This record gives sequence, C-alpha cells and structure tokens, in this order.
Amino acid sequence: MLTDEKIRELIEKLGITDDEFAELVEKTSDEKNVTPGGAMLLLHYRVFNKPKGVETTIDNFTKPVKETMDDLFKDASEFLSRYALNNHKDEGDWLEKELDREMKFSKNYTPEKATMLLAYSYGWRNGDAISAFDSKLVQGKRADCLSLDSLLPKINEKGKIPFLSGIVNRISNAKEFDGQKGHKLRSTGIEITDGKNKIWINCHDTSPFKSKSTGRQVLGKFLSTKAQMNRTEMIGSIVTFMNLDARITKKSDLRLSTGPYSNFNYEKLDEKSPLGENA
Amino acid sequence: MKAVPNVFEPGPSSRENGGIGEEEFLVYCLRAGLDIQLSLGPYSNCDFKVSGKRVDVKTISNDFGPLPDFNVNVPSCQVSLEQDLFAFVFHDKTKETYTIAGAVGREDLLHKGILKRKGESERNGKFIYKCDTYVLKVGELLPIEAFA
Repeated sequence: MLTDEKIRELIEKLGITDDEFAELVEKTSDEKNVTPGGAMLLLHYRVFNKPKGVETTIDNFTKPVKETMDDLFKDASEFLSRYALNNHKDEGDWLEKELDREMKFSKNYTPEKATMLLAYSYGWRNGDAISAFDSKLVQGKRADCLSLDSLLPKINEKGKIPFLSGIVNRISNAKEFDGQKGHKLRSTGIEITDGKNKIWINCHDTSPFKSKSTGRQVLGKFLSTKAQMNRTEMIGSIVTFMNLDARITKKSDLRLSTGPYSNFNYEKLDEKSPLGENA
Repeated sequence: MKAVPNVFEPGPSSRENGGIGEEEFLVYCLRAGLDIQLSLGPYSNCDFKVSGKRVDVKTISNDFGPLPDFNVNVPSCQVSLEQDLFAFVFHDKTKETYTIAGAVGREDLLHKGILKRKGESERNGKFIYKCDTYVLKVGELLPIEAFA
C-alpha cells in the first residue's frame, strides 16, 4: 500500500526506530482490525493529515510546517524545471527570468514562496498537474490553454481578453458588496480549467448607467446571477467568456473579471462526464 | 491567478470531527479490502482515492446517526470536477460513534440532489441554509463498495 519511500518518510517523521515502527504497526493493526499494510496507510494518514478545504491564496503556503514547506519548495522547483524543459527548450534562461520577475513583483515573499507561486501559475498542484480531464476531449471542444504564457498575449491594448474558453471546474457562492462598487453589485467566481491550469473569473452583476463617452444608457448585466442560476448545468460545461477585463494586480497576479460589456455562454459537453477514466 | 471563493471556513471542532470521520472512512475501506489511497497533498480537493475515484469525505454530526430520511448536504461551492464521489460519515454525538452512511457520484449529486438556496429554511425555520447547498436523502446514497 505504501511505497518503501513513503514508509521511510513515515518512520523519519515519527522519529522512531524500525523495530519500534514494526511494533506500532502491529499494535495499530490489532486495534483497528486492519492488515499491517492498512495500518501503515492509517499511520501515514494520521501523521501527514493536513487541513482540508484550503484555497489558492498565498497565505495557505504559510500553513504547512517547515519540513513540509521544504518538500513543497523542492517539488515546485522540480515541476518548474520540467515545465521549462518541455515548453521552453530553446530559451535556456526562461526559468531564471521568470523567477527574477516573480521575485521582483512579490517583494514580501521569500524565494521559496515566489517559486511555489510561479509553479502554481503554471499548473503545479503539489507536484501533480490537475488531471481531471481527458485532454483529447478538451482539445476537441476548443478550451483555451490557460497558462500565464498563453493568457498574457491574449490581453489587448484596452486591457481586455475578447474571447476565452475553458471547462467549468467549480462556482463559488455569490458575494454581495457592502456598498456599490462602481457599477458592480455582487460577484460570483467561476473557476475554469484547461485540464492542467486553472483560473478564476470574477463575474459581476452590474447596474444600468449612462456612458460618459457616448451618453447612451448601458443596460445592467447579471452575470453573477446567471452563474448562480445555472450552477448545476455549468459544472463540467465548456464556457466562453466575451470581453473580459484583465489586470495585473500590485502583487503581480492576473485577475480576470466581467464588466458591463462582458458576457458568457456555456454548452454541455456531449459526453456524460468531462472526466476521463475516473468518470 | 488567485481569486478566493466565498467558502465558509469550518470551525476547529468541525475540522477535528471531519478528521476523525475521514479516519473512520479510511479504516472502513481498509477492512472492506477496497483499493484506497491517500489524497494528493495539502492542496488537494479530495481526501482519498478509492479504486482510482477521488473521494471527498463529509462528516455530519447529530444525535442519532444516519436514518434513510435524514438529509446529507454539500455546499455547492465545494462541488467541482476534482471530486468523483462524495462519501458521508455520521457522527452520533450521544454515543460518540461514527457510521459510514454511503456515497454519491458527483453527477448524481448535481442532478438528483435538491439545490437549496442561501436563506431557505427547514423545520419551521429552525434550520436556515447559510449558502447554496445540494441536499440528498441518506436513503439515496449507495454503499462505497458499489463504486469500487
């Protein structure tokens, strides 16, 4: 059940000898009425059990204990090296430049955190790329590549992405703004993925207003409500956003959101589930 | 690249209960001889893999354990393509026992479950949904072995 490497990792974490570990396995096996292999898995779960339900904010990178941070950093570094080798073979200094840029824009972060953030931007999830989909299926349904590399060139001179497609991974709860935020009334996040990378699109309900430049009345858009109303059908569907606002935040994150001139459409994939073999 | 969904953070006691519920689920699967693996890591959105299917374990506390007419629920914002199954464990606070009630596939949860909207109430207003939530009866769950 556990590989030798994992068993070694467990023994080291427990800080006991091999004999003591064997005794512990036997005791757990008897207590829980499971096989010795099962007991080892159970011990591994207990020792390495982490808080669940964490989201993709930088603060979460501070949650693991020091040893785990080191492991994560190592894992993220290896992921980035593999990514550079596979996608930027001809640019020997690509990774170095990207890390420099990440460090430059994330002044308060340690190099380890910056490396993990960069890796996360390119699809790293603790060493495993997201494998929720059959990539052939996704390609056939025209999902865009959602890596930073692919998204940045899509942003036009007006700071918009005219079209962007992806598979809906999840939909957040609606967030009501305390006071009106410009024309924005409330917001719902739609997380889309291409099977490897993920990004949230903040969809807003906007109130009607008179355009300063044309003097025309611009109708309200209710894309947050649209997402909430169609949540069940949307999960696993392919969605195409039109006229997204794109901006780079002070922390150097790419934020995508809808505005009064945006819209989205979605269509169910033909197959019962967008998942491949796991479906 | 980062936007944070509006998720209700579980309290410490819920988290602890959830941890025990997960362990009970793991032990149950081990005893049943199911092919179970641990989740991918701290940022994974599932708890275990059973026969290759990614399982999110939900623990519900009450004073009775599971009955067919009882509801199980999953906050709608937690339903994603990163879970194939949702398994439910009941924590009986009186007897301090944990019982595996069964599991449901993601597609079944989405289509057979009732989507209760934030603010809707049950039991003459004694229970109010804090967020949009998919609700299903215990009787509609299948044993986890059915998915193995």
